[in-house]
Parts: sequence; C-alpha cells; structure tokens
Amino acid sequence: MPIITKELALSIAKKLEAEIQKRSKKAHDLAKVYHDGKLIASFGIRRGSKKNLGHDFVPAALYVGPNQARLLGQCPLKREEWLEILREKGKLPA
Amino acid sequence: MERRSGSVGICEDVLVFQPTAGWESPECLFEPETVPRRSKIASQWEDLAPTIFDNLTKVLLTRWHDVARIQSLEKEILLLRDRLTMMEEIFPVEVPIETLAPDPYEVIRSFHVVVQPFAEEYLARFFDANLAASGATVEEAVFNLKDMIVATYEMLCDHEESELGPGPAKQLQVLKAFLRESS
Repeated sequence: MPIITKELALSIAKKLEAEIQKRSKKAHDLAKVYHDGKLIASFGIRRGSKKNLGHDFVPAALYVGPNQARLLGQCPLKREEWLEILREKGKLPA
Repeated sequence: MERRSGSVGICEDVLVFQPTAGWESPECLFEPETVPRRSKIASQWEDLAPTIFDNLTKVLLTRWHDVARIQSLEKEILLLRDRLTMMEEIFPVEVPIETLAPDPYEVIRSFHVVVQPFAEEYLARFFDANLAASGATVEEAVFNLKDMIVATYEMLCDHEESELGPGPAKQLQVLKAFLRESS
C-alpha cells in the first residue's frame, strides 16, 4: 500500500492551494504551488480512477519526508508550516 | 483306535501332539522322517528373503537420500529467493534514458534514472532534476517518469526565469542540460 495515495496527493494539492494543470491523454496532471507569485514546487498527479494509486514521489517534490507529506494531506501540517520548512531549506525565494 | 484329546503343533520342525491335562506324557504321533519339514515355496522364500530384503533396503535408502537432498535443496532455494528479494529491495536498478519519443523532445546526452521497489510499486527517480514517478512495473514507472520530465520541462519553460523559485529554477537548469525540443 503506498504511503501517499492519489486521494492524499489531491488533498495535499488542495492544502497547498496548488494550481492543477490538466494534461489530456498524458500520464499525469501537474500540481503547481506558487508563493508570492513565484513557482516554488510542482508535482505530478497520476491520471486514473483508482484512489489508491501510488504517489510516493510527491514528498521529494515538496522537499519534505513522507511523514510530513502525509501530515500535509491529513491536515495537522499547515501550508504556512510547510513554507517555513522550505524557507529553512533555502527553497523559497529571498 | 483309541481317541485322545489334545492340540497339534510344530516343535523344532517336528509335528507334535500335546495332550490335554490328564495325560501323563506327550507323545509323538509321527516319526520325524514322515513329516515334510517345509514346502517348496517356503524353502525358496527363505532362500530369497535376505536378497529381497537387502534390495528393498538399498532402494529405500536411496529414496530416503533423494528425499533428504531435495528437501535440503528446497530450503536452499527458499533462502536464495529471500536473499534475492532483499537484494532487489536494497539495490536499485539503473535505467539509461536515451529517448523521450513520442514526445517532441530529444535527449542531448543520455542519463540514468534509478528505479526501486517502494510500497508495493516501483519508484523511478531522476535525482539531478528532483523528479520522480511511480508505476506498477519498472517499465510503467520509467514511462511515467519520462512523462513527468517532459511535463515539468514544458511547464518550467512557460515561466519567466524571475517567476521560478530556487527549486524549479534548478530543475530547469538541469533539464536544459539533458534535453531540448526536437527541431
């Protein structure tokens, strides 16, 4: 069972207020996360009807571990807290 | 003729009559010479029995050795299978990427992606560009990663450089070193 399922990946995208770019006839849609008008992260969302499709590549795309990514999708970790993690890692524009 | 009660049996190859209580002493009814000691079949059986027993023992011993050997090999195979599974989980597979066809992009210089079993699926990663994708098989994971590489490249190229944060800016820089739009 994947740690990050499609359902959770969609929850993460919603939590991070990501912009979803649909890509017809392709394997993934793209979730783009902006902060202060700049693109700071992006990740793919697999196209397919199964809710439990594996999305274990999402944590690396968000510069966090699987557990933090899971918390993002399940609510305890807020967008601002994630931005703080990115700031600490130098992944946010100065 | 006087009738007596008792039981008949064989004692040391001699047919004897054992009278019931009340008789003073047992008495042989026949002379030993007059009683056939063994039938012909019994005699042959007695001669052959040791050889048959020897052969049977040899066959059983051989079979037992074979069974023990097969069981030992089965154990060894199971052990090797477990070790192989463990090795597959520990050691990832490197897959060279030389084309992005059918997408209209060409690979300037080939690169390797790393594919690893992860949570009942396969995870393909292109570490330099911080891109990854999952799939039910190694092939699907690599196919999905190629799609992500193209999708990310196109999406990043649609942005001005000033619109990219540090992560995406680095991704674009790396991707530009490996691929370009086909002319």
